Amino acid sequence: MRKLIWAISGILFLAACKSGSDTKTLPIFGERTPVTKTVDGKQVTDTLYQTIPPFKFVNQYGDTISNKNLDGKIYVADFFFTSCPSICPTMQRNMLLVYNEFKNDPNVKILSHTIDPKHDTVPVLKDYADKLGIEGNSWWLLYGQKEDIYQLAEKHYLTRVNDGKDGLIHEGWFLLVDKQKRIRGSYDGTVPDQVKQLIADMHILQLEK
Amino acid sequence: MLTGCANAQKEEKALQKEVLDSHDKVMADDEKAMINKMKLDTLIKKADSLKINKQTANQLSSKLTAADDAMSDWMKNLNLDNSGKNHDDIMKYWREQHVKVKQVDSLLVAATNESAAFIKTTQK
Repeated sequence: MRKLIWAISGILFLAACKSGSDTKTLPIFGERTPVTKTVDGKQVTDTLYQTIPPFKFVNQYGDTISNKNLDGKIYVADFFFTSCPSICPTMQRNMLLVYNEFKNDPNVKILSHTIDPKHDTVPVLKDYADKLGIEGNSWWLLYGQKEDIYQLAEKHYLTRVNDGKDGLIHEGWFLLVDKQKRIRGSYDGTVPDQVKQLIADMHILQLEK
Repeated sequence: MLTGCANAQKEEKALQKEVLDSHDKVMADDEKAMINKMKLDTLIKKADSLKINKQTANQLSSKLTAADDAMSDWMKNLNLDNSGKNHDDIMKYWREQHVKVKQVDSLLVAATNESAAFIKTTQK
């Protein structure tokens, strides 16, 4: 019996070591601010990471969606518009792969922001979602003030991919955000291999606390 | 006959691609316009303390909005489905769209440049 316990313990130990060495972590992007605080009388410097600031939009069901709906969840953000004739159909086809992979996990969301709120009203977004076959609450198509969406895009989501070129918001980026609202990855949403990588990285983030 | 038909379709696709490529370029100009609009709107909120000409800032902001609306309307009305039309009509349609998208681009570039010049004066 004792031998059996030792054997099981050994196997568990080896398994723990193996999974520990295989654990991958994703980089954290964005600005970092060092913060010095006093802990137990000693000065300790900590790092504050850039996070996505509070926001409030409306989804395809007419429900208000704010940053609070994403607390403790990981999500993918992108920018599109329903009448987009060039890259958006490819992007949304690829995003469907992400949706199908994670639609049963309530802690994973997709946020697609329209950059043409003049025409992409809530009913138009609902119709678009229906045509894509989106159901439930894992993929939200978001409507809001154009200035608010651009502000978030330019100052937060897309800073990581800013290569000095013009037209970032219409380049088809998928941005991966973690449970603490930090950017953890950016992927070209028109390239299937990058979308595959996004899905793999989302599985890694799912395991993070 | 078949070759002629294939060539006609090739020609239509090439012109359509040219228009859609223009659209992607104009989207980048639209983004610049929106960035300037955000800057202007921030300035307008602080107009009194910054002592800037609020009326000019408002006019420039409206001009940017009008150009952005023109882009939005053009995209909404663009029809990718030309089925049932003959070759000449399809070519005519895409030529017209090319002219229209370039007009929209001119509006965006002009409004962006004007607003950029104004913003620059406030930074002195």
